Amino acid sequence: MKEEMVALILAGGRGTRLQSLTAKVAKPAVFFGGKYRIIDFPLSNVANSGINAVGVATQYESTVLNNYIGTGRNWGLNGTGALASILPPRETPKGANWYSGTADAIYQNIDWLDKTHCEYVVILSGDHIYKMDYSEMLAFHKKNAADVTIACIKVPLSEAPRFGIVCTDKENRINEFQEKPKVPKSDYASMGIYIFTYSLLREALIKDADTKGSSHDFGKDVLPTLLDAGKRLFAYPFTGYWKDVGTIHSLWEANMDLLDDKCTLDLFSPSFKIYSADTFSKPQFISPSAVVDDSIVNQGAVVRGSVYHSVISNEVTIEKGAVVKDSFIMPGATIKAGVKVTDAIVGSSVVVSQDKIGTPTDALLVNDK
Amino acid sequence: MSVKVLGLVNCFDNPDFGPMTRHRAIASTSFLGRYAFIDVPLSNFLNSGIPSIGILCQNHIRSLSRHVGNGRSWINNTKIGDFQVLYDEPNVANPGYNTDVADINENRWFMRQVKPDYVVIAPPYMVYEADFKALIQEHIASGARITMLYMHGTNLKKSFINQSKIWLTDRGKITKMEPNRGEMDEGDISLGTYIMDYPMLESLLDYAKGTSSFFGLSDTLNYLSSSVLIKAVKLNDYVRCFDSLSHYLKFSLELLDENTFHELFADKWPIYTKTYDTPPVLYKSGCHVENSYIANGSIIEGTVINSVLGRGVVVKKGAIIKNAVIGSDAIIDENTHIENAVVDKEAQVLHISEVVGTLDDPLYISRGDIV
Repeated sequence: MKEEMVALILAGGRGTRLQSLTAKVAKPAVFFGGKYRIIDFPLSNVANSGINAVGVATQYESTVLNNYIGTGRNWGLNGTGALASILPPRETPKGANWYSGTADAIYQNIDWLDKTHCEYVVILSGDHIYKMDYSEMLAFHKKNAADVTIACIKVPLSEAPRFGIVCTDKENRINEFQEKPKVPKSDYASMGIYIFTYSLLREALIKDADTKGSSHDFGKDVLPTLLDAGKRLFAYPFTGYWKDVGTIHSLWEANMDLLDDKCTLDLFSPSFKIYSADTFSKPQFISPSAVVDDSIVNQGAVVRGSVYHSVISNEVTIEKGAVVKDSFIMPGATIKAGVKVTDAIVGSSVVVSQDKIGTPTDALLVNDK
Repeated sequence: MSVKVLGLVNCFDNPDFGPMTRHRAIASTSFLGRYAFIDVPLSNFLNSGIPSIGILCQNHIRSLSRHVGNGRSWINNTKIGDFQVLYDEPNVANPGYNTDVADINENRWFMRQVKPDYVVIAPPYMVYEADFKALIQEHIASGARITMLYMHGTNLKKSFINQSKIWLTDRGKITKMEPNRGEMDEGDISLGTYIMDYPMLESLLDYAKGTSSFFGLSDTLNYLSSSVLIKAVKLNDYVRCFDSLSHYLKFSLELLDENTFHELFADKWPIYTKTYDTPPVLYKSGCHVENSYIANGSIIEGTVINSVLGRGVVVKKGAIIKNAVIGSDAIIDENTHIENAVVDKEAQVLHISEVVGTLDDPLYISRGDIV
């Protein structure tokens, strides 16, 4: 095959801050938005960007995720000439190796990249909620004759210490990196989305693999080294909706964002759909005793109680007299009669038989099976 | 299943829903918002472990093909199983000769390819769930040449008109079959669903061909009912014959009753359909919805009561929908009133329009119409 640009998704992380939600599945496989898993977003972006080959590097609790990705059929990536590969760490003649960092996960898959004969690689995280056409970012990369292009977004300065921060000149060329700085020099944050010219990436990864003391991380090692070597690194200004859902609260917030009229994610856009697995659900039923207001409800849900400002997934049952408010209920959960759930995330297949009340500043995780 | 079974969905001589089925078969007509009627027999086949499926297509092949695609949604192993829309190309312009018998004859190549031991034939407009795995075992054990599913009807003067009415002995052998002319209320009605071994099907085809070029399967069986051992097996669970626009509306709304719904939809018996990748339903602040099925992609700002909405329906503020079936991607504008009506897909009901019919005579808005 010969592809201009291929995608590699880093989906190996556990996401410990999601607590028990990632006890059995990797973070990219966590449910989102009533009918999705988080990884549906980058995979749909790949499909919608006209990219035909994608590799997904998985490691932590990967069975559910690997099954979910399958042949890539849910995202249309199973056609002739398309390729969706699950890339777990594996045993080689040199021995067995786990992926020891983001750069190492790509380094161990250089053979896969070589076989695609690609000119460019877009490297993605499996745990962000956003829509992006990477072909536009590639046009920007080519226009600038860049070696590396990093998608960046303005964040509130108070939050900047959580991110990799970039400083640029007027032409968006990056002249400094700060990885999670205590005193950020700018409010321009890396989204962890990189386009590399492949020949340069290949060389940089091999060099990094041989570097003693390297943590084999893009943000900490590979990108600063390339910057120091005078390579052309550019920041691609992204202005749409983007959310890192790394914590219970941010996952809850991102779900609540879907209910905000001003949210620019535009899940309902027919021209840039987010694809997902079909759940073979029964029709969604809103019973005579139900109240549903300002909410998102997926097929297969049965609502007999009251739902206000919440996101309800497939096969969820809200029994009569139950009141769900400002919450995200994952697939197959049941909220028993008369129970109140507020400001919470309820895990998949959980049966909630007691009131569960979080706060708008600290959403509660309810995940006792 | 140790025997090799072919499932055939029979789309010949299906009833019509008036103008709603002018450009589509009942098979590909929307059912409960997110399904098409054909999903039910196809899912019965898949859930019964039937590996190969053919669709006997009388007409409206575009609408049917668009829904079923390559059929992957309804077969397990795509190499061992097979899925074909079977179309009688030479006869499609000769309505008289375009029968299910002629269609199977034209598509014998498919039968030769699948080499079934048994065939199950089921129509899409008779809606029921049945485990054909068990029924085939029962059929084999019974020694009957043909097993036919039936139901008992109590309203034959007004319903099941032209469906095959059957008479049977105490032991379930059919003695007589003829079309229901609505003479009496009580009676037993064939579900147009047959199980037989493949050589039996071949001899039925040969018999039909030798008798008349106009003969379809049900004519042939009516003719042979007294001389061939046809065993009738009664379905006691949910069965409805969707045979008119009024019944389409009534039976759709009847399924809003949870007990009726659970009669049709058993646990662990999924109904598979084509995915459209629509997002979940968005219920806007101030909307009012009760006792309704709403399919994904819909955006609800107005009032929806006792209704079934297809995918991507937009219900604007102040709109009231009651006792209605609304097709996919329809737009129901502000302050409109829809009651006892069927609004076809992509139709638009604009500002202050009234679309009000009765349950016996629902108002129908055609696909894509703007009123």
